[in-house]
Amino acid sequence: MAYRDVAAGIGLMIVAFIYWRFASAIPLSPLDDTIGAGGLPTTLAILLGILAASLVLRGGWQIATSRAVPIDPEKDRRRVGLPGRAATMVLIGAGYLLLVSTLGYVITVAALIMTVALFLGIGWSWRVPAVAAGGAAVLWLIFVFILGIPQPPGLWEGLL
Amino acid sequence: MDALGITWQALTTTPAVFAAIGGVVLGIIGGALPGISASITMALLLPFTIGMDPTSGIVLLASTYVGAEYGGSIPAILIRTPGTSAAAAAAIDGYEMQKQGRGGEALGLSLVAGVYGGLVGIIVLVLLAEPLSRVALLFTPPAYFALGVLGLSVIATLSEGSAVKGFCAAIIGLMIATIGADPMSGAMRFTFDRPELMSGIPPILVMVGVFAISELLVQAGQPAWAKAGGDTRIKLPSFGTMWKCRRALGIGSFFGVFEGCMPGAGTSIASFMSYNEARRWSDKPEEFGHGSIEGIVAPEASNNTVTATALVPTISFGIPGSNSTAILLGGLLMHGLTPGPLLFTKAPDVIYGLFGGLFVANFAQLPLGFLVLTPCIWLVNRPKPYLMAFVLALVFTGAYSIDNTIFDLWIVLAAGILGYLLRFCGFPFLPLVLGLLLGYMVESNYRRSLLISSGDHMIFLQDATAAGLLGAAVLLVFISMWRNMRQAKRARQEQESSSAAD
Repeated sequence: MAYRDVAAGIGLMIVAFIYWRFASAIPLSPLDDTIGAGGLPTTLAILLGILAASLVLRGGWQIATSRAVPIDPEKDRRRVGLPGRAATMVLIGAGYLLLVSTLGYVITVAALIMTVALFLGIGWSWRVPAVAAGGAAVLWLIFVFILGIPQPPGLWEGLL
Repeated sequence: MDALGITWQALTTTPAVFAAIGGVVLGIIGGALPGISASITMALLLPFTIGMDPTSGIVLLASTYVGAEYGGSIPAILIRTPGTSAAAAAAIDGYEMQKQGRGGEALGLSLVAGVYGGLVGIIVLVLLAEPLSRVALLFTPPAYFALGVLGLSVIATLSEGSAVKGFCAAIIGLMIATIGADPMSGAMRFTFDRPELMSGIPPILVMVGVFAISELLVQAGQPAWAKAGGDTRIKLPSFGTMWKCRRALGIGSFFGVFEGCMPGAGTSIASFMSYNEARRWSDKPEEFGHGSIEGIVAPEASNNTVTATALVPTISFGIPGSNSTAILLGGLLMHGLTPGPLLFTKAPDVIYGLFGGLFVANFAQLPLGFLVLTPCIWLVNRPKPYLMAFVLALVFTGAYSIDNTIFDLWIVLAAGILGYLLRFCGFPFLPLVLGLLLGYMVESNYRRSLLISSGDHMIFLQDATAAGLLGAAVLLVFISMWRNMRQAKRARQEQESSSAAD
């Protein structure tokens, strides 16, 4: 975990720095009190920077003195799965968000169910598109038809 | 007598009873699906509560928590895959009983012990919550600020992982809470001229992302779970059997009360402590691990006791003890109900409606446990890829329902990535969620206090309640640092002695 601590610490230091830069740019307001709108954000950025630096130092010290406890790959997989597959899931999700406003809810959500099911290991058969279409129809029925909550209509807006 | 009247009115003038029954059903189903824990089920339901009246919305979430704790034991007993982390203790003896052809008996014991624990928990909740409401008069803006700081310190230091990581997560939560209009001057912060960000990032979106999406990302890299089979008909235990387990029931509910009232402890610790102590005090300790009925009763009573007692710090002080109660806290905030001592005087109908709803939920659990079991087993036996795909679709659909904007879905996805990264690097979730929920309270009361004192920070020491709470927070941080250093020293000594032995 020491290597991950160092990486996380460096990442958080960068976040703290960027956040601090934007906090410094918060405009002063005539309604401001003694602290101002940028007061708490600046304090948070400094605190995060200090804590992140301590993570880096602690992890670095553990690595340098060979006290870093090695990660058990099997335990790690049970805890966090596989990062590559997680990244692919994120891409599938992002694809859904990019397409849903154009293609509309029903088609895109059916495509999402089908893509995720295939990616997670279901074998291809006629059942896959059938389950995806059924799932999309169930969700549309619950949200749009029964609860009256609209979902993105996409290009079909004029037709519905 | 007033409280009983308010409870009756809340239950009869709102659909809270239906919300309680629906919550238990959905909770059992959600808890029974490995990977979809109580908190994820609650996060999925959170968007639906926006359109409900506050009492029904909060009762729905709390009842889901109740149902999920029993639901989690179904796959734990049948396929040795706990649906919730707290059900892992019940899997030890429950699965042994299943292998011996006594799975139905184990499910019955789990159900009855859960109902017993839940009822004990509600009694404690009602008894403790009322006196705590009298503390309301002591709270001034400095005290509210100090309460927020203490809450964040408690959760950051007691959550899994190191305290430094806990505090980092809390600060990230506070940082997200600063996005949008400044609570005092109205100046825009971190909005980048995006109109969607001007009112801030709704905590509900971050919670759905951090809990549900990150779990789906983890599940994407994990193998499918086993299929449930064998004896799956519930057999309720006789009164004589439960009488034999009275000591285990007592131990379970004791730890449920104790751990539930302690912020940051949660159901998992309570159930494992109950299991260990039940074995220590049992007349037949040798049966533990080989299908002991006490080994199921103690952790299951403890889990369900926590579902009620964890609400004590949540609704009294705004400090949730677990991920599930953090979502409940988010539900309260969403309905404009500020958690804390004043909640009892400002919204007694919601609070007493919640108590009544929990009673209904626990009693309803007995018949619903029978009715929902078959659909649960059917769902558990469905291919995991379909279930995960459907849950992802449900997350996006539910999140879109909040404000009908795709921008919200990007926030959910980003929060999911953040949640995954936090898990990957061993950071706890709860401090982040709490920082997000308490951010407004901490900042606005801090600045309000300084306005009162014309910028003098001594106000936090002059106010006795604030000084006491801040003192407790500092003490907690020092104790945590000392504990961490001692643990590191012990681990180093163990490593050195093992390498010397090699």
